[in-house]
Amino acid sequence: MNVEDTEIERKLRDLGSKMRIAVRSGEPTGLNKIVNAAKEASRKQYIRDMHKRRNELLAEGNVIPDEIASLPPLPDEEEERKPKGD
Amino acid sequence: MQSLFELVEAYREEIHMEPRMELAGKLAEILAPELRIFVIFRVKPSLADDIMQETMKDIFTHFFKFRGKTEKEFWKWCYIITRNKTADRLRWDHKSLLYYPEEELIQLAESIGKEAHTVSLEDRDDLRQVLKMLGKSAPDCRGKLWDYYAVGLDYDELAEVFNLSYDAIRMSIKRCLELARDLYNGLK
Repeated sequence: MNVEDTEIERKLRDLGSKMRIAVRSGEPTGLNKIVNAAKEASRKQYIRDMHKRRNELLAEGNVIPDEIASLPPLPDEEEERKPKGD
Repeated sequence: MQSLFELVEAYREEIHMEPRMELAGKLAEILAPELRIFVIFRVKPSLADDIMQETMKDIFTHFFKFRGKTEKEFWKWCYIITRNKTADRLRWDHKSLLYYPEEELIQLAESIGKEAHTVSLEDRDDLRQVLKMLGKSAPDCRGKLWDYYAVGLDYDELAEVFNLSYDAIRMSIKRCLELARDLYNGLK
């Protein structure tokens, strides 16, 4: 806590720190969904990047390394842009 | 345990898909609770997780556009994405906008247990009233004070997140705090 805090500042900070603990300790289901969304976005971006890399190597006439020789198909870009609820 | 920025660097260096996804999960576990506090004050509680999922998708889709070299820079970058995703949602669904009710905020803070964490009855009433009055008279101030004191963003981070100069945000927080103090003193 900041020693120069006025009473209202102290209360705001105090509420904030309690909120952080509450949010961290609550709703594990919600957090799991968020973590899974992060992993899925990471996977899709990895596939996009590797497709791009493979195309660059092909265009330059280079040998394609084994790890990117067979990649999953590109994630559907249209699906990615579609807003939820449509 | 690796620090947040060690994980960021490990993610940048990882060239295989599965380990990179695992690192994304570890990063999300650290980021989500903090970024969620920023979101839940601005939208209906039921939408917060939805916005957080969209935020995580954006962070990990554009991860390699982040060029920063410090943890602080990474947080700023993440908060900007969070702000943008929240604003996007509010643009196409105005009904989503609902400041988190004061009572629920305080109850959420209390939900962590009855021990040392409990908000005192006096603090609870004071905060509820000040936040309510600020919400009516200066909703912008309510958000800024929340971001500064509760979310814990500093002037530098707030300036970048809201695309304002350092001095503009510093003066704005100062004015908002004066207003909150006046409201608070009026209760006494």
